[in-house]
Amino acid sequence: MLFLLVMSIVEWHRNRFTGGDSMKDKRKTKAQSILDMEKEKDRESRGVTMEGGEQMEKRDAVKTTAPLHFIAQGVIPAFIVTIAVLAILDIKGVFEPPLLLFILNTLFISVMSFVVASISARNYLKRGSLSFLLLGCGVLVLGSGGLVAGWLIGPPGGPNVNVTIYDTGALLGAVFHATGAIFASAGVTSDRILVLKRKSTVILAYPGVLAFMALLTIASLRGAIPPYIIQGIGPTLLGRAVLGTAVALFGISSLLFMRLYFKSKETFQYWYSLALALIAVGLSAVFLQKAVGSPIGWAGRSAQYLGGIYLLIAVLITYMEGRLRISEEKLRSVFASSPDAITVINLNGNILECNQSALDIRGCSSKDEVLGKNAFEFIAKKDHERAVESLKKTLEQGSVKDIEYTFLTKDGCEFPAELSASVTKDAYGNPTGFVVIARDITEHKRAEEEQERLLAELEAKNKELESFVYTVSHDLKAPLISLNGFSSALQEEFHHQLGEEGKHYVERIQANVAHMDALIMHLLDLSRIGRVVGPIEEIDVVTLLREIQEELAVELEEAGAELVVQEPLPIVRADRSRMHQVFANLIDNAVKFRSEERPLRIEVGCQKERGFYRFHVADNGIGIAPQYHQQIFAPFRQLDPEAQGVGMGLALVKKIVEHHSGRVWVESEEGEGATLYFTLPESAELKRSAETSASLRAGPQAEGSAEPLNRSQKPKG
Amino acid sequence: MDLQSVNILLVEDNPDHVELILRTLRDNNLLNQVHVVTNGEEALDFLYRRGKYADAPRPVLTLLDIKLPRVDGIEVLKRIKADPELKSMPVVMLTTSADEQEIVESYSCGANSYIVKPLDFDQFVKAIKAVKLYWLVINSLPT
Repeated sequence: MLFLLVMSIVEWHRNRFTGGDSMKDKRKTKAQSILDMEKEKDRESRGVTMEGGEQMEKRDAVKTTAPLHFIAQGVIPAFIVTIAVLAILDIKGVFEPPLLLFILNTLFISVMSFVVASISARNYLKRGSLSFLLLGCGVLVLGSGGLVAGWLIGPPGGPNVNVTIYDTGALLGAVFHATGAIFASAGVTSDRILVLKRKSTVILAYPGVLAFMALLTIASLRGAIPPYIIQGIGPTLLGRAVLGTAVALFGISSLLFMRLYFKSKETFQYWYSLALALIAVGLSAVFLQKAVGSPIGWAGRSAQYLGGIYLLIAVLITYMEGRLRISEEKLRSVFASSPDAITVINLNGNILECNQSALDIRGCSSKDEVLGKNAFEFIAKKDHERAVESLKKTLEQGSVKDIEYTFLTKDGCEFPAELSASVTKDAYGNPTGFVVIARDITEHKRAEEEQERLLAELEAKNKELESFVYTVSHDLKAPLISLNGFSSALQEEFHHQLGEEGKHYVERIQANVAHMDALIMHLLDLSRIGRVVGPIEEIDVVTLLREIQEELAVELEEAGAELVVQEPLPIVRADRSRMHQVFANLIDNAVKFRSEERPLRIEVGCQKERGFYRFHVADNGIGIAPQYHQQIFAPFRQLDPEAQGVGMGLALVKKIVEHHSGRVWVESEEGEGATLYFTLPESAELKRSAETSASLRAGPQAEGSAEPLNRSQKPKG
Repeated sequence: MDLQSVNILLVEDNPDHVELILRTLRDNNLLNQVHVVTNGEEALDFLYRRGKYADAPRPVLTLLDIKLPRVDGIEVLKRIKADPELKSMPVVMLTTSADEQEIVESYSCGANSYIVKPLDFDQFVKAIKAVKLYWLVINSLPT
């Protein structure tokens, strides 16, 4: 009885200590948090690192879990009081329905323990922390002990076997936990003292522990072990010794871990310590019980079950923290290794943190050169005002993207950079600063400038070329005029002397002059596509085709051709006269290259594709061999030298279509007709032209017209 | 009105074209009154009666080619139209192409007409004849 009293008083004191600690704990926590805040502010103005942020997080965590901790701790004194009361009352009566203990033990002790043991094993494998290994072994012992004890409460074991196994398991478990506590307190947290690899260690330890329990079970069943309890009277001396030691060890371990928690604030240690305390309390109840299954015994069991739950919480928290840390690590490595310069600044612009790229971009080699300084030191003075404006905007909008500034390196060299910024906020949504991402765009700008230069050069060259073609064709016309003039004069004034041969020669001269004129006209036209483009209008293609059909009626009839228009055809936005030229040329071509063997059939249709229209003009004529499919679009190229025409038609079509941002191509086989395709974008956008005639329309110049004109008449094309 | 006494200034640098134009005008009895200069500078000298053209008569009509050496046809046109004494004189631009830009320019500078020298000489003849008729007969010219 004395022993009992001493133990319970010791217990009580101890628990008052932990209970009291919890009060002190809270007060200390509060004080600490104020201090931390001061320290934080201090550090902020000097420049603080990411770790500070972490501490802030921990502080918040403690603040929010304080009520939870209060409850968790409060359970312990509650149990102690209950047990003390029950001990004094000494209620006789056993409540031990069969299988109940088994079920409860299995659930709360065994299953829980096995779960805890496996998570512990995982934690140990990941982090090599000895505490976990020992914890795992400890709970494994307890767990298996509880399981087996539960099985054997009835025959063939009986209450003594139950107690023997359970208590011995408890003692062994306590030894493990205590070892763990001692090592942790001594600062030995890593497993480097173990020779073996982690996996091997676990493989050895866990089954080893289980093997021991098995042996224990067998021994106990055989009666090899002296009794621990006499049902109805109470525990034997041996029983008391074993249990007492176990309780003491659990208690000590609990204290040690609570002390560790004060220092390091690791949540795991908090819950572990409480768990151990609960188990200690529970075991002491078992110590006091006279019969297995008495109310006090049940109180003890409950305490242990709760302890198991606390253990589960402890390892789960560590497990989750571990995962959090991994993702934190990922984030940190992303931050550190990002090629973009990331800088974290506070509301005053002082640099709190930055990554390696941010150092590089500023020409600095270490963080000391940057942390604590104001970000504006690295921005050119001329951009300061703009930068402030942008920051203000960032506050309003939350983020701001891609603004160009002139940055300064540590040595004052200027370079262009693109910045994006966003606001950082605290848990209440108040802005605390900014994250600024900068990218050095010197190269980019250089490339841009180069591109602009090249484009300008290209356009200049194009203009030059077009103007050249224009001039040349112009200059070529003058002699043609003379040729024609003189040959006509020759014919008029000397046609008597000329005779038939002479007349024929003159006629050939004039025919060739006309041919050359046509060539030049086409060339001029070609050169003019880029220079003079008429107004864009909405063209009903069907109407346009009907017009062309009428114009070419004579040729079509002569060729015996049938023109089929596949309706519906869309309304396109383009230069009307140019479109006219395109269709007219394509149809004319079809007529020119018809086959003798069959009546010509020309089909004009359109297919709507995504973003553009694909027109086709298909014929059943003589076709074009694949090797010529590119050639035919080149100016002056004619596949059939006998053919009439200038060989410019398709070149003109190509230029017009490409000017409208479309493509033209042919599908054909020799002897099997040809299909000319061309595309027009849905919203016709003309390429940039040097000149655009706003009010006058360019039309094909067949022959120059000469009519007397006065001021009010506009010239007709 | 006596058509014989009408003075016409032809500003054309291409000798072949000059010949052809003169031929047409001869066929229509205007040859002896056509004065030919071959560049823009001389055209202005003629009109302002400068240098060797001190005794030049005032032409009643100017046929002006657009493409000229030294002083461009359009430039000559501008100068003529800028001068209070000359600007009432009708100017007909001759050119090888009906390029719109040129048309617009000549109209905004005050040309009275614009003829494209066609390859078909009959057309050309008709054109010149029409000019003659139009300006000399239909219009009442200030004397």
